[in-house]
Parts: sequence; structure tokens; C-alpha cells
Amino acid sequence: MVAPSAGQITVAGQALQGLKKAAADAWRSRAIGFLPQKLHLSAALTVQQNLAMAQWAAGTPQDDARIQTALRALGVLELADRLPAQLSGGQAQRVALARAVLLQPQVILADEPTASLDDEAAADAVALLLHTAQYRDATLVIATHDARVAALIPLGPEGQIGYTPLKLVRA
Amino acid sequence: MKTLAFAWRYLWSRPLGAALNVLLLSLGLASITFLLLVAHQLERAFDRDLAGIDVVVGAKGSPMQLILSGVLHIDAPTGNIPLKAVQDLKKNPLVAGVIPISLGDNLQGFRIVGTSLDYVKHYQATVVQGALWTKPMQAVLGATTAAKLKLGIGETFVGAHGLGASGHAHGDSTYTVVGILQPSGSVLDRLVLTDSASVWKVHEDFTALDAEDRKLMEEDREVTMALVQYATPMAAMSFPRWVNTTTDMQAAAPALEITRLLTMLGLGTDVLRAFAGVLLLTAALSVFIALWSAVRERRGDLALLRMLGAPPGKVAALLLCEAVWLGLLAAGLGLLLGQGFAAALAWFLKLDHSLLIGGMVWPPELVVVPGLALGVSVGAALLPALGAYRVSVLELLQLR
Repeated sequence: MVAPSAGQITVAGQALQGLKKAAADAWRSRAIGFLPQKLHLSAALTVQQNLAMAQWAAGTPQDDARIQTALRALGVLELADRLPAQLSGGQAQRVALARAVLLQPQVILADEPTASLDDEAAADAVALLLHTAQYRDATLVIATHDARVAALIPLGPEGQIGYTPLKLVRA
Repeated sequence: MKTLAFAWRYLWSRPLGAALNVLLLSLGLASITFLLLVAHQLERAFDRDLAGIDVVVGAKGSPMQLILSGVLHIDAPTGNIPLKAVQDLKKNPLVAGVIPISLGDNLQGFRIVGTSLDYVKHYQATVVQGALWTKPMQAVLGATTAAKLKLGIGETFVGAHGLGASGHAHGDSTYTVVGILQPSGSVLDRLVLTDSASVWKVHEDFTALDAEDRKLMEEDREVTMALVQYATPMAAMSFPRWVNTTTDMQAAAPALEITRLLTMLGLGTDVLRAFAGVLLLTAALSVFIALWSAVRERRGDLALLRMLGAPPGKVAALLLCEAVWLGLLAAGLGLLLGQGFAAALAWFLKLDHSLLIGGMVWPPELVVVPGLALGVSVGAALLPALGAYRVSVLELLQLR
């Protein structure tokens, strides 16, 4: 997103310094799945079209089967023809997550995924992220200042992060 | 293709705003379409009706009036000229042909024109039913006249005095329809043609007191004007001057008078054109404002598209495509509206059977309309598109 002025940044095996803008755009679409705090689902488009637009933005051909798979994995396939305005907050976040992982990124970047959610919904959101990251075999990065998130991330037997027992998943 | 599809969705996510912009833009385009259509059809009508008539000789008065009344049949004539004078014209070596025109009566608003068979020949009109007249009081109807009045071969009618639909009826002089002309697109379509002698006969029957009186009238027979063809182009130099100075008649050149008329009309069309320009400018501003605020509203969405990998050009193209849609829709609607205006004008004009102007002709000049539409809408979208081009991925993280 921003070229480093000095030093080296390597994300998912890609050195980012010196990457041309167009190449950076292309790489970003493949490597990073972004879940913004404000979801930015296009109000003019249905859920299905929102995902199709992600494929258009990345310059990959529209693949309806893959869109359906992504929506099904997040349990929102039946909402495919709805407009974002007709979704609940939780549903909208699932759709946005489906969009983020549509192109099978190696890194999932979530920006304040639990802000303005109550405890139960926040737990759902984190569980969903963990589950999706594990299912996709992707690195999950959550940027947050919500203390609940830390509590919701289970640590492994030796305290390592990233170990995600599936029993937590309530999706 | 996909870009156009998404842009279409975005456009109609604000249906009222989009509809208003399309309407505003199409009003300006409709005015331009209308102007083009009228200019095109007037020109064609003039070209057709004036073709081959080098000069019109008639009674003194306004030369333009002479052309309007005698060639286009949309004005009252200046007066009459003696038949003898017209016969003298024929003897002039500069003159190749003379067609006499006698006006004065009408049939329910359609002019009855007394003339010679040369008049029909001049416009290369052919008879679709029946035949041309062979003696006085036989009439040949133009295609429009026949269709509107629902008159067929063998039916009879009486003319009314004057050129308007109301007037004294010449009750005892009945015409018989002997022929109907093929539609030619010329002025003949909306006339009733007959022999010059018919017109004399009707009026002599009407006014003559007795046989002696009638004899006097026969000597003083008049026609309204004569359409003259030159034998040589050189005649244009001397013939009109000769007529104007040595006879009691005047000579008017149709080409000259029509040019004068169009120059006068030009002032009116300039005003209309300026008006259309202001409308288009307003529309451009409105499109600009709409797209500008769309970019502001959707900054986050656009930044997300950048995040998802769309290069800046693609994001800008999305916005430009919205403008293209606006332009295309407005062009379509504008063309239809313009045709509608022209058709409405035609309807008004047809009420008094004057110039033939209609909607639903598509002269090639009309391509400027979609061109203009796209130019205005895309031009207005350039700055907002630049704004969209500059949307940075970072705004996704900062914007709240």
C-alpha cells in the first residue's frame, strides 16, 4: 500500500521494496485479503455482484462457482441476491470476509473486526476469522485495540499464537 | 464490458439523480436534434421545389412573397399579370420554358393551381391513378391532397374562392377528378392541379354579366405568375433586369430569395442554438456535480477497489463509464424528443397544408447528437474521474 522509504519488507515471500505500482496492485489482490472496519460493500450491487466486482478489480475472469463456494463456506450463500442494505451487521461482515478470501490470499488482514459489536457477536467474528484463516491456510493479522479479541484467541500448549482448535468455531 | 455493467448499477443506485441528469442533458440534445431536423428538411424541400426554376415573373411587390406564393405555395400572391405578357416572355430568346401559374381558389385549404402540363413534367411527377387533364374543369390531385380529402377518380368538387379553407364557394363550376399523382415529396403533393383555362372559366362564369362582358374578359385574361427556365446561364445577368425595367412585372430569382429568407431565419436558429448550448452547459454542470459527489460518497468503496487490486485507471474508468451511460441514455432520449418536437411542428404546419416537415427522418447530420452527448457527459466526468484515479488505498485505513 505504501512503498517503504528504506529497509526491506517481505510479505508472503514477496519483497515489497522496489515493486512497481501496477505490480503492487496485482500482488496485493492475490496475496492479501482485507477485511476493513467499515465493510464498504457496494450498496448498488447484490452480494453476488459485490464478490464479482472483487474479481473484476483484481482483473481475474468472473468465476461464479468460486463466488458460490466462498459464500457457502461462510454460510451466506442464500443471501447472494440481496443488497447490502438488506443484511444484518453479522451477515454483512461474513459477506465482506467472503470477498476478502475470494482470491485465496496468503494473508488475511482484519481491521478492527470487533469494533461496535457486542460480546457475543465479537466472539462470533473472531471465531469466524480464525476458522477461515485455518481453513484457507492463511496468516491472520488482526489490528485491534479491543481487549476481548486477545482473550478470544486461544493459545497453544506452549503459548504460541496461531494454533486454532476447531471446537471454538461456532459458525 | 464488466466495467460498463458495474457502472450501470452504480448509476441507478441513485435513480432520481440519474433520471434528472438524463432528462436535463436530453432536453439540450432534443433542441439540437430539432434544429438539425428542421434545417435539413427545409433545405431538402427548398432544393426539391426550387430545382430548375431560374426565375419567377409576377406582379410587382415583394420578390420573396412571389417565390413563397408561386413556388412553395405558402404565401398569398402579389397580384396578377396579363396572359399576353407571359406569352411575350416565351418569345424572348433567353427563355427556354415558361410555366404559367394561376392561383386564387382552394379546395378545403388545398390550393387549386391552374397551370400547364409542363408543371407536372417539371417535377417529374407521374400519375398513379387515372390520367392528366385534357380539358378545362378536370383536376389532378397531389398525393397528400387526395389522401386527406379522400377523393377518388370521377368524383367532383367545387372550389372556394381565396387561398384559405373558408371562402365563397363557386357553386356552379364543378371540377372532376381525373387523376391522382404519385407521392413525389415535392410541393405537388399538396396541390390540386388543373388547366389554366379552368381557373379563367370559373371566375368568368362567376363575374361575367353577359356574353359581351365575357368576351372582354377573355381578352384580358391573366395568370398569377410564370415560372421561367433560362435557355442559357448568361440570362441570369440580363433577363431579370430586362423584366424589372421594361415591363410592369418583376422577376425574382428563387435561389436568391431563399438565401435571403434563410439568412433571416438564421437569426432565429442562432438564438435557439444558443439556448440549446446553455441547456447543455447546465447539464454538464449537473453531471459534474452528481459524479463529483458520487466520488466523495464512494471514496471508501473506491479505495477498497484499489485494495482489491484494481489499478487507478480501472477505478477512473468505472466513473467514466457512468458518464458514458448518462450520455448514451440522454442521446437516445434527446433524439426521440427532438423527433417528437419536429413531428409536432409538422402537425401544426399540416393544419394549413404548408411546408412538409415531419418527424422520424434520420439525416446523417444527426450523428453529432450522440457525439455531443458523450462529449458533454464524459467531459463533465473528467475531473471526478481524476479524483477517483487519485483515491489511495490508505484512505481505507484512515477514513472514518
